[in-house]
Amino acid sequence: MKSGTEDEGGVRRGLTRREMLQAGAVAGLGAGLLGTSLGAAACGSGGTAAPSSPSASGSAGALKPGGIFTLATDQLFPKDNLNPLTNTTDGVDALEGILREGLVTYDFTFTPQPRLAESWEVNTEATEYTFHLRPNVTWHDGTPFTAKDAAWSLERVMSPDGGSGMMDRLTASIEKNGVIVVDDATLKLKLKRPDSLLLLALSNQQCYFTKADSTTADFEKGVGTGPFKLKSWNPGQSYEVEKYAGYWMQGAPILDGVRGIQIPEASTKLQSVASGTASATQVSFDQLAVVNANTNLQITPYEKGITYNVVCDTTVKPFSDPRVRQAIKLSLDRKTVIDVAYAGQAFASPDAWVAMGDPFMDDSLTTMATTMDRAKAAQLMSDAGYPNGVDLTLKAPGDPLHANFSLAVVAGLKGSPFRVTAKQIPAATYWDTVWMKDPFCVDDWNRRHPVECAALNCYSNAPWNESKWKDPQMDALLSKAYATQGDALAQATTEVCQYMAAGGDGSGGSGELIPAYLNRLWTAQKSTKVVPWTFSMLDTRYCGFYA
Amino acid sequence: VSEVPNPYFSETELAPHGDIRAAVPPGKGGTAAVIWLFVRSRFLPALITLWLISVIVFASTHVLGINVARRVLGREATPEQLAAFSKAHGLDKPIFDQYTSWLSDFVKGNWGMSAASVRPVSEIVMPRLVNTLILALVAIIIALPISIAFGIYLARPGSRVRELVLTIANVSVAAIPVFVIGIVLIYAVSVQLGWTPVDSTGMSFGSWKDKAAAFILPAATLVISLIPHISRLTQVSVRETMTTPYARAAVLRGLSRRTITYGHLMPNAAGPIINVVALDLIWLIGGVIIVENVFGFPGLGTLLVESIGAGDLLVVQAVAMVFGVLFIGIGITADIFVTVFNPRLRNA
Repeated sequence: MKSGTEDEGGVRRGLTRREMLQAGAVAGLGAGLLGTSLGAAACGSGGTAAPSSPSASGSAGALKPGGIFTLATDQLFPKDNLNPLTNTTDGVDALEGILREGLVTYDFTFTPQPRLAESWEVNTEATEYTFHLRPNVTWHDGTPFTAKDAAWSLERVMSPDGGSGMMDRLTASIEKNGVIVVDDATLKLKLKRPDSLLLLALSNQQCYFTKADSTTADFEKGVGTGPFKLKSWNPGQSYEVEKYAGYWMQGAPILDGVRGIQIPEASTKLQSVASGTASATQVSFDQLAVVNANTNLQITPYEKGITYNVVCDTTVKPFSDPRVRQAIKLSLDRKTVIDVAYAGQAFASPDAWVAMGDPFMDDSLTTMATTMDRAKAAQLMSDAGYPNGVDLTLKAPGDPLHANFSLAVVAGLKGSPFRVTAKQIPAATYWDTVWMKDPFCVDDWNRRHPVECAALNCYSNAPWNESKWKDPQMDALLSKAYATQGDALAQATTEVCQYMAAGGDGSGGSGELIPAYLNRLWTAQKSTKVVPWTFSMLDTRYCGFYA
Repeated sequence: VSEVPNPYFSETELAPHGDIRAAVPPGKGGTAAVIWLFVRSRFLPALITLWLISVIVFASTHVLGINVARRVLGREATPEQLAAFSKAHGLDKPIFDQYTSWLSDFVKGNWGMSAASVRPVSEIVMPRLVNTLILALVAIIIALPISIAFGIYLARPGSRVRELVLTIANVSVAAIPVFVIGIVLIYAVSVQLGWTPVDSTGMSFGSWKDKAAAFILPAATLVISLIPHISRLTQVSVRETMTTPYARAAVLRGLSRRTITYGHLMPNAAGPIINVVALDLIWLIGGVIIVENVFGFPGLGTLLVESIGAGDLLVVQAVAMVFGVLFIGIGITADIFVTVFNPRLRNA
């Protein structure tokens, strides 16, 4: 299997007509596709990965070279560090994505794209990957990037001492001593199991490369191969990067530099962009009206970047009964959730890791994502021994997005057999005291390939099997998906989603209630081109200011 | 102008509450005795208070149940990784051992190494402390003369309508939350007029002019929120002294208004004003937490909020202790100033 390649102008070769149509349909925006299909996956808070969005602001006009792009964020913290394995905040993710690169990225259709690997081959069993590294790539200190650096970085990720959240994912597939340096420009990975989705895992930001034999102190210097090199960094306050003249992609970046500034107050962040002090920032849904009222500002969505979900423990009553799981999925008014929590900026999901418009959605999944049948839900509850419904308490972290989501779920289930009250728990302790412990609680997942996501939480022994759902057929479907490639993988992915959402005959599917994937909204002045890359970062190679 | 003895009150009664000079027994005076009394009445309680603060801060950060390893490594870290991290940073030890180890290091000036950022806590805290102190000092230096002048103006006899209008205006401004003042200033001064930057970005990247500009709105916010309080107290204090017999005597002696105000009224009104300024300074140190977060000003306030959110407990503890030291230090300083400024106590 041969990859596509990326030319110097940033236009991806090898993009099939089908992929193009899919991407265009997903975004409803063809104009930004070429500029952003090169985006990379990245880990957000918690280290999850997300594909790039085809959305981009400003479809007309040429960019003028140069300029300093100032990104206002509320996600820089004094605790931040530049060790790619242990930083867990969105603000540093954005900086890491500017400074460092990995082998591959993937686009909005989950198609792997080349980055430091110019091309690659995968054997038919998906048990051996050979990467041909891009020539003439140098680190910011001028030394050449080689396969030795790539191998060292990947072995760090796989080391128990590294502290990487991707350790389990990679060691589950890659053999011990399976990272092999063939020569300076060739890297081989030998696997102990078929893994057709390994490229997506390798696109995770924790798999970005650092120079071989770097120490902890070296990480803080931020040396990478990215389009910008570190000029200054003040954790919790700001960072500044400048254009790296030796960047391998000619013509990129367009900007002279990028700055990140910490502004905790949301309204100040927005006013900073409105006044021109900052170039771009993310805004919350309740700020949408303010942005729309300002004729100088524009909104650029990163579509379906993340989902907030409700976890129903399938090992305790009432959700141990599959009919109850079916009933709550049929009871939820997804439109209400989308309107109340996300101001309409979201795409309905059928309680699987996909959403409307995704490549893997078929008619059955679409029906599940758009159908609410409370009469049937009431009948199912009656059959399950709950003719009067049930009273539940939904616990959620106290931050605004999780809390709003929990309140929207309460609204979305109002009038159904599920009488739900929301309870907020301080976010500082929620993930240790509630998540994975409480039978009815809230979580969030960054967007990634449905099979990758399901493998993390639907395998019987998955590390984040929140709903504790164990189903041998689901395990078999996931194993099958990992062993297939191409169109067969796409079909297997749809089957995984279908089974997760509804299960087999009357099995109710998993205990995940996933109403929708929501957009992340970037705002900037109309004279600014914003290219969202992941839900937390921009592809600064293509951002700039119109002439 | 000679001081007119007050025939109605004794020196002790006139002394501000808790003034140590007043506590020196007659005939037992002398500098050594005063210093000892000062140490006994101020520094020892201050040390005990600081120790209590350390206990409360340490206990509360641990009672909250924040798992530092989880906050640092993220939700996807495995139990084995969490355990290894906790062991490496001594977080698996009994809480008492952690406390004694932290406290003994802290008093020696070793504030520890942040487990999250792997940087010395002092390196994280000190630059922010300097920024906050400068901001607070700028605010109080601007607010104090304006407030006192305004308070004296309010205290002077005049039209009842004028007094009513100004008092209502004063109280109204005092009732506005400080973050609202900040946001209004941003909208009016930065967004509409374009006179100042919206945020404090200049603190990170700018020239000295940009850095100075970054102080304008945060300082203005604090000044606006301070003026009503100090001016109101000045007004009340000056008006009280106006009714005293010596003030009336000064008027009858034909002294000028300026002499009466600044030579007689203000020194006697200074005690309460200094105390309220001290209280305002303490409020100021707390208030900057909000103001700094509104403007993204890199000070102790933003550091505290961000460190709590990030579970960086050593930094939280250090900042809380710094706040404690500042509160107590300001209180003691105010006592000293009250003693120095009060003309009757100078002669005690």
